[in-house]
Amino acid sequence: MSETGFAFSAEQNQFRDMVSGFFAARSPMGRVRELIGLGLPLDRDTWQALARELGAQGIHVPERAGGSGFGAVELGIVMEEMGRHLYPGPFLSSAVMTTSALLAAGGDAAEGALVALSSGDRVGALLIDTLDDPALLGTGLSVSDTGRLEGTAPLVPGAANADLWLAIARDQPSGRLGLFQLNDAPACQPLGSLDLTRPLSRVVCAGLSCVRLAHIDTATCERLWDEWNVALAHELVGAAEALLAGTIEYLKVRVQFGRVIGSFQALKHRCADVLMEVELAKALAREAARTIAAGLPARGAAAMAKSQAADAAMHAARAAIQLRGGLGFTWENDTHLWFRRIKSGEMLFGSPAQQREWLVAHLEATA
Amino acid sequence: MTEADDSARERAIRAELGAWLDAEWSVDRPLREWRETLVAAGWAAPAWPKAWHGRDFSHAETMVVSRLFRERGVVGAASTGPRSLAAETLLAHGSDSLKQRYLRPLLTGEHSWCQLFSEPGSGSDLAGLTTRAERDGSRYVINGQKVWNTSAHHADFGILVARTDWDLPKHQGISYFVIDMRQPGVEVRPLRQMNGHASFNEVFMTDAIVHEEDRVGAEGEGWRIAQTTLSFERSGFGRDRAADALATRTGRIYAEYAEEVRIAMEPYRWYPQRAGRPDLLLSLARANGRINDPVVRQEIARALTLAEGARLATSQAEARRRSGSSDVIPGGSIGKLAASVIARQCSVAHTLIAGSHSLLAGDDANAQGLVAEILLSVPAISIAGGTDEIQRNIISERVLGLPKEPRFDTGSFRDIPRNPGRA
Repeated sequence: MSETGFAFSAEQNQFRDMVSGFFAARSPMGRVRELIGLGLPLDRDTWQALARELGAQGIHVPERAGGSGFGAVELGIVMEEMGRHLYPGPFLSSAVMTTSALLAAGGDAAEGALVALSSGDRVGALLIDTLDDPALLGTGLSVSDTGRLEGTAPLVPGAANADLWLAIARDQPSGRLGLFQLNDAPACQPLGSLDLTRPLSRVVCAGLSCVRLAHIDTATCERLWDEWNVALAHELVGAAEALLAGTIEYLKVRVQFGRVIGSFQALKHRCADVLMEVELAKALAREAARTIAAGLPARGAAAMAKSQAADAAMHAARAAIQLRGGLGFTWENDTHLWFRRIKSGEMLFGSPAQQREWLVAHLEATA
Repeated sequence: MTEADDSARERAIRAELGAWLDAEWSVDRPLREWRETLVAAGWAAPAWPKAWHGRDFSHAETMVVSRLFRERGVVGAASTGPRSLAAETLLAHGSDSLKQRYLRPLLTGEHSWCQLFSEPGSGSDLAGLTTRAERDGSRYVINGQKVWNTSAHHADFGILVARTDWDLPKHQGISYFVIDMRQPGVEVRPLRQMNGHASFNEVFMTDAIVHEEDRVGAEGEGWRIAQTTLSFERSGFGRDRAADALATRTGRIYAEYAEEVRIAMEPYRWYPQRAGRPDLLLSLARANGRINDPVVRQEIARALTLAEGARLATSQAEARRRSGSSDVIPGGSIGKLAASVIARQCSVAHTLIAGSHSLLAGDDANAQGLVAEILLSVPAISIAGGTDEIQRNIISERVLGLPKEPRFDTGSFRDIPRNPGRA
């Protein structure tokens, strides 16, 4: 917890404008809808342009590993704008989950994969036992003494687009957790998913050949969770702001009872509440990103950022539907696409209630 | 200014003020006499204009002075909330005669002040006020009632808004006055709140007299001038809490100062409890073991998260302002709304932690009755200084750009619907 406030530099603000402009031009809502209709194939042109023009996939990767050499703050900027524009590419799974696992593993072996992911040439996916609680890692997936990955990753984001595979699994010979890279693609079973822009797959591994990149400990796994949650908190903030802005525009033009409905206090007060909640979430997300970028312990900061961002964004999403009346409940209106994305952001890597439990556990452990 | 200029200027101020303090400052001086010296030398309110006891100092320069005062344990000008509101308004809108008569004794602490704005019939809608100021030659005769007047029971003067014209639209018929509180037509009665404290007063004015030269600005300009007072009030007019610590030191001047602070701060004793005391949640839950209850943990986490979010939102907005960003949401109303939500959440968590012991109050209760005081004080935070509902109007209209509700209070004030029984 810092005493002095934090403000983005001119360069960071400029970067945000570039990211936002990129998604507005390359991934407008019409295109998002089109890709969803096609079953969300990877738009490789946009994915590679995102890497080439903005260095987004490797924004938090050191330059020697093909990245831009920035950190969690800049990654947060990308995620926030991605949530604002509902970009449907496999960024969370590849650039956040897989890439940060590789960064945590470190070493030369990870470097090749980092270069391939940062350049946008490859799309990564991470096989893990759970999307809920890092304490459950290694309870199912395991690697035999002959280097074969066994077990099922029940819920894997971004698997359908992936061509570079990592797994966190228990190394049977040593009993320790390790990060492994698969030599071959596993069999993916796409699952019906609530979030149409971030679908899940089930991946069954029956003796897949893999190599161990590193052993990782429990603290590292928790740190990964913190980083992912802080990235998601930014996405949730961006999505919430987009929904609030769209709702405000609607309230300014819709007329009932002879008045623009945005003049009714019952409606505008709800918008004010959403704005206040989102402002707190934004402040917590930015502080958490700064904490991670500084290499400081971030358990409490991440838990606060994620729980507040998820609660605020869900409130924004419920309000966006409610204040549009029947229109907000239609398939044609885009609001449900954000609602779905926000719901997945809320539940990935620990629900708000789970975050709050982690916060108090952390405060008790460090008291 | 460059950083080098800044530090050179800081050294110059410290040198000049340091030398002056060496010659003048002593803990054995009587408080009032010390303050006279301080004001005469222009160190009491260095941000004020040179013509009115100040030095035209910037915010940064003023901070240098406060820092040196703090380092040397120097007692500064009298600076309670209502005093500051009166001073800022008089500086901005007062005639030379008003400034001449009131500013110096305000700084020395010779006069204490109160604010006479809210009325029983006009709270959120301050401009609907019905206190009358009727001209009688070179003076005004005041009749009406004010409420929520902190410090009125010991105030020498009040800043008063009253209606001078009932035919004009509501905002245009209001005038702004300084009223002498020590006169037969002014009666001050304490107002007891639901938490048992009596921090405010009601002020009844019956044919009270204000002289023409005590009107601030022209007739009918009262609403515009009141905006200066209110915007200063909303900006927090941060009382220098660090200076309160001086009250605990030994020495003649500190003893007199302690008495001044005691009287001035008495109404504010319960204000920390009004904000919900998030700082006490973990320690109280640990003390009785409720920290192990998963439901209690959830509610504590909610409160701490909101409180930390609000703290960070304020400090980040301040940092953006300092860095010259235009991307700063006017934060006052958002922060005030957040404070209400935080306080209510703390109230929920404190109740859960205390369990059935939350039914006890005063000395019989745990934590010296603090929990009971929190529960009974939190309802004030979403009302005082503009209700949550008014803050939501401000946020949705000024920040989000949504249209106002239709109005029913245009045209002559005489014809506007008013509360029953209010002239």
